[in-house]
Amino acid sequence: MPALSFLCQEGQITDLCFVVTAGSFEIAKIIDGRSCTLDTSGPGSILALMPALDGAPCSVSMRALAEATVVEITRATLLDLVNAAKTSDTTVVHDLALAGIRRLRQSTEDLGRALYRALQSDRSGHISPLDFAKIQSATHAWQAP
Amino acid sequence: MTYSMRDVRLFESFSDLDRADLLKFMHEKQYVAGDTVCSRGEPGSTMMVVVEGSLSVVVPGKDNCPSEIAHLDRGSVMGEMFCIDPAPRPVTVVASEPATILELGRDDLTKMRQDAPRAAAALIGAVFSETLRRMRRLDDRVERELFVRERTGPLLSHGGTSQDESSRADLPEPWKACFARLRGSA
Repeated sequence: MPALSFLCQEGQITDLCFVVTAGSFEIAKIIDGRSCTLDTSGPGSILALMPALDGAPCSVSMRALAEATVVEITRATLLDLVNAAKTSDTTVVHDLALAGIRRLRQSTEDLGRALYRALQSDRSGHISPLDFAKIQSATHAWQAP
Repeated sequence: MTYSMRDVRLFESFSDLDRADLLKFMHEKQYVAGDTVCSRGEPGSTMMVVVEGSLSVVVPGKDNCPSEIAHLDRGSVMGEMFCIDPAPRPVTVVASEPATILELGRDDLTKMRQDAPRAAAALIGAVFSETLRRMRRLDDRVERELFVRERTGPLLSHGGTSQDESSRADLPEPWKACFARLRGSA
């Protein structure tokens, strides 16, 4: 991937997910008309897994910060891996499940912390759109266990 | 007693053979009404399926009184993620009436992966799909409910908490319960 090229743009539907093997990617979202950087993901990250599996549009954009290398996995291959009963090999689906569980727990904790920060802030009850978007982006960038 | 578990949604894609294999690795436990099945904060490494009776899922509410956030009837599954990734239990579960559960621990799953790999693969695949479903639900919730709420008014107008200043002293408890609900969903 050349520097500054997009893996996936916000709103795009994709049937590919990506495992980052070299380089890093900016995770960004348009908030109030501006592109805001939410996170960066490096080697070992699994990007766009959810959109690839369930077909929903990507809610964030992912762009290479510098030259990067990814492994593309198609939806069909993913479904074969997830449907491990076909091969009785549980390794891949176990690792994917582990990554997903940890990501879900972390995102839930992050949401809890954002709610708590909102409670403590002057504008009690308001959570910044950036905080929301960071939580949302996290659900799209998994870390391999 | 034998159970088919055909009415358990998590296992709906299982073949009869997979379900039968899974049952071989599960352990039956019986509770009387009021018994604690698991406590919030204690290490958890098992998945539980309610096969008889019902359970109540509680978190500390106002003044630390237990507040029920879910009721688990026959066929409900709880803690399916814990047999893949052990973690402290986010909620307390008590038997609302005499109840029987089937439990599968992390060690059982490890053994199952060796001795009944097809059934283990079906189970892990089902847990993975459930994790994705919950992740999407969290994602959608952030997008639809919370993001919109930021633009329309305080989040605290939601969830039975009033917005006036006098209620602010009471906020920590509802918020604690809110966090616990969030954790319970994970």
